Amino acid sequence: MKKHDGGIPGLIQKAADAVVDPIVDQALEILLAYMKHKIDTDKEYAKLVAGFNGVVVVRTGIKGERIAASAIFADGKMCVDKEEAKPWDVRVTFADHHALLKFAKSGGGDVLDLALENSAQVQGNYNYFYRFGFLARELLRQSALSQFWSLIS
Amino acid sequence: MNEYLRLFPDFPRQPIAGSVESRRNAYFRAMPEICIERAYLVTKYHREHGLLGQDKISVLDKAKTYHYVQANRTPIVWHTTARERTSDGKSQPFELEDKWVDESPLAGSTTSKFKGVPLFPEFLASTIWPELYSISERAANPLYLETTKTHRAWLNDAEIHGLTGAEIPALTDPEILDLTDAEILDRLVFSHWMKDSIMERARLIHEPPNANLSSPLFEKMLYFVFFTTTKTECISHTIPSFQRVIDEGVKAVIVEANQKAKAAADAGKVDQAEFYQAIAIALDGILVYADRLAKRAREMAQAEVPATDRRRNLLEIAERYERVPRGPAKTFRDGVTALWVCWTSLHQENQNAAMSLGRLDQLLGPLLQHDLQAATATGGEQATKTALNDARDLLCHLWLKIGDHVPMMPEAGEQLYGGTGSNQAITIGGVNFNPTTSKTEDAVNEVTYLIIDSIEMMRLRDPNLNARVHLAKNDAGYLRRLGLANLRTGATPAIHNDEAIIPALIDNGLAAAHAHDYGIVGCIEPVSAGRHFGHTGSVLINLPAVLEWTLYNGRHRHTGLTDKDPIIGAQTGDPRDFATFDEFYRAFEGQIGKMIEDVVTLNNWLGLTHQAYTPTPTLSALFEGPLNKGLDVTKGGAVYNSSGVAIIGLADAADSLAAIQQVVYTDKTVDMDGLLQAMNRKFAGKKDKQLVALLKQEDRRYGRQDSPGTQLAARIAQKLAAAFGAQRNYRGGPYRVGYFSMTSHVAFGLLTGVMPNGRSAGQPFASGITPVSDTPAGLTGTLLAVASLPATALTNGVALNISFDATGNQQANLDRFEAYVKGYFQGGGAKKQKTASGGVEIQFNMMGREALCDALQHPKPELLVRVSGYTAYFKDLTPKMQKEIIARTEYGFAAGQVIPLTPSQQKVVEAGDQK
Repeated sequence: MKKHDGGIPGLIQKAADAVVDPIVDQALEILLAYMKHKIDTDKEYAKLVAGFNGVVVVRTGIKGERIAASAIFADGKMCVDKEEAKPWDVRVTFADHHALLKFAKSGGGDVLDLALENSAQVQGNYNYFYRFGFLARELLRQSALSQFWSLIS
Repeated sequence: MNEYLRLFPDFPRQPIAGSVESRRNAYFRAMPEICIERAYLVTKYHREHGLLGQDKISVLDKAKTYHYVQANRTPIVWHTTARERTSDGKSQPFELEDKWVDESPLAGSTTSKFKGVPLFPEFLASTIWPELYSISERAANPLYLETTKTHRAWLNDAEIHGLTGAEIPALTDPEILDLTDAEILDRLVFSHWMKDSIMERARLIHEPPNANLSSPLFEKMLYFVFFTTTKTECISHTIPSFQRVIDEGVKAVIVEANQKAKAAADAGKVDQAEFYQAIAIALDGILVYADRLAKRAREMAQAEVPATDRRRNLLEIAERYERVPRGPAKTFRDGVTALWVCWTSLHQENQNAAMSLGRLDQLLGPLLQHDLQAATATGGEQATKTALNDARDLLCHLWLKIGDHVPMMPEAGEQLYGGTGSNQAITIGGVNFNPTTSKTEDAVNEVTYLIIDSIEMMRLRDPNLNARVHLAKNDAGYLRRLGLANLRTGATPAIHNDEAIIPALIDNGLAAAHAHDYGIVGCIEPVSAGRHFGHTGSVLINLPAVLEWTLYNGRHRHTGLTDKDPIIGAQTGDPRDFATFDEFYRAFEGQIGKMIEDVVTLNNWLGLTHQAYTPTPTLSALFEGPLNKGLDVTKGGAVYNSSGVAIIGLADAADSLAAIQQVVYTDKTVDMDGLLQAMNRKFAGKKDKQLVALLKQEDRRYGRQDSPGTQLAARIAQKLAAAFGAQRNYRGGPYRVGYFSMTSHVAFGLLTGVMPNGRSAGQPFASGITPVSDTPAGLTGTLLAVASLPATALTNGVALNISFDATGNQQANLDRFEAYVKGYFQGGGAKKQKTASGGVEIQFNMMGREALCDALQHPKPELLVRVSGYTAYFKDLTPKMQKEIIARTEYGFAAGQVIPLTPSQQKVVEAGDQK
């Protein structure tokens, strides 16, 4: 979590966090919803999931409170489940929302970095996660989402 | 008298010039480019022949796959373009014309690119999937990947050459015509291997999703802090045999394989018959590729103006490639050609991860002798000189060709292992065993010196030169020449002690003749060349993690110490309850046992998976043993079978144990609880500075003769060798232990907190078998301390990294170099101990700290450094690795005194990452 200095700057930071933290909490939802939207509306992007059948579970809270969402890919479509779908092919658990945001901002490429920091734990088939990471990065590359993330970081 | 030394007594004999110079310049200018050919062709063959999703893939199907690759990959005689990075972080192509012209006498290439990155989707290639559109421009060691529609050379090849039959489907493949390389990888390669990569196959077989395992081994490995198992990426790390190819030619081996296939079939031995058929098919693939290169060279020659050198060279290549490796090599050039074509072929099957070339001076020496005799007979001394010059130039070309590929590395991998090459070791010198007299004989010959000279001239990362030295048998001038090469290159060759290694290998079960014929794999690992599948880089173990498990009763700070956190190690008891150091050490040994159990289990699972899915017909065809046994190398076909373990962090672990022994149990300055509390607060408490000073006390540490730390290091090494030696791998062979760290001492260190030796959190461990850098014992004491470790416990090799300030008089420095190496190899007083045998290996950095600090500010593309095992370009290393090399203890040549870091150097070492 962010460290707050004392005094006026600290208060300003607290105020800013009060606005930003809920968005950070919803980073996962935003990412998956936008990915689904892109698949539904952009034929070129949809080609990336052609033939991709699999369930990717992303959740936060390795030790404590958890939020989870599942990206379910089937027959060139994607649907989002706000719970942990089972059985999954790969399950990624981030230590907290900020680790998740770091992942979302990088578009999936930094999950190994997070694993090095023990901020993320990947279970299951890594190849599904690499593919999901590719989809997320492409999403950022083709959209203004990365600018959005940078605004809330 | 060595003809080369007689005719060329002074070095440099000749500056780099002509096509060697132009190709070398282009080599340094070019950035690596990802080549999708192999990945695409292998995937296509697997898809079209229903090999994916099966319970196993037969060796015959694999042989057909590689034959298909050889028949369809681009036959490149000379490259015409390469790619370079531009100052804005992007890249652009450049033509290999005029001054960059590529007119190597060695046609063929590992990939379709001038400096290519081959991909192996059956292993870990999909790790770059998220990066397909960013890998070309990433900050650390970018790999260019074509993301625009591109000309596909191998499509045109079909049209131009009218290829037929099995070659056509890939070549006229409409599915890839409108796709970029990135799209092909995404849609037509990676997506097909999602459930078929080796790691996933092994996981599904041995740790199925519903297995309800308390601590799955694959997950444990992926914490990165305990151990790494390289079988997820390859089955390489060995030395093939080229002797039969040189002596008899590939065709002769095919004939034998076909005969054996028929005999096996007649005897109803279906598996063996299939294996021999696979050998024949894989070898035929090599010939198909050689023939395609010859054909292409003839076509290019026809397009040239008659009577030009270029046309003559092309026709000579065509004629040579039609002759070898099909038939026996008759000349030095034939031999190098046969070797090179087989080398590229092996890399279509086996990932470019430490496949090594063996004792090239012994392999090529007789061919050079033949050439020299012929030259002397026809043209006298001048012709002999010309033949030697030509041979040296050809070796320069071979080194450039061997460096034509770079390993694939994902972005996160760059943080841990950035800067590594393909670690292709070559071995020279030492002794041979004469079976008639049962005596050892000096093996140094003309080619030995040609290789030293050519390596010194080229100063490339690959190949990694390893020189064997037998002080009693090799000429004294040889060791001095090795010292000179180190002074001039700054970092190569590494030097190995025959008198320690050969007896240790014999003790390890090798026949005397085979132990004498050892070669080096990858970094510094000795195996009997061409007959010993040692897979020397199987497992990398973080030894301080074992200590961590001991301190925290099976938990690790990286994965958490609370009751909710997983118990990763064994539960050997709360160390606060241990009354004596012996109890603590027994718990440490118990944790060693747990680590061994884990890594052996995982390595064997992966090995069994390789047996089922990635048998290696090409490697098996070029190895001693498989043709006799009728067994693939992965199944134990080699004459000798073992698996190699690299232990990381020996010095830090030994120093920590020595500190615990004295401070906690002998002096009782602090109890275990106090020590753990101080560690938990990262030694940041008010009185911790004093405690750290006690923990770091110098005369106790490893690296001083007979110190508690040195004795503990020897005790740990013997324990590990015995415990691993008692294990059996999936091929029925033992595990062997070595101490080389590559960049892993930085990677594992990065993930490890403060330690009982006073080491700070996140700092690199000491490299290889080298003592911790701030243990200023003086060079002689350090060498003798390391030499006191028993070679029989170090049979997977060691890397002792020594840095010198090489300023001053060169001759005087060489005198001292000789003295230090001799003292280390002879072991001084240490050799009197029953178990000691003298130092095993030593390697150097001689460019000096100042040059390294300067290179941080002003990157020098060609600055070669010794990491810990292999050599690398300093600019390619991670900032942490760069600083670790700068921070290593530096010695003066004259007295072996420790040269402390200057304040400005200290500042550089302690500064934030600057890359």
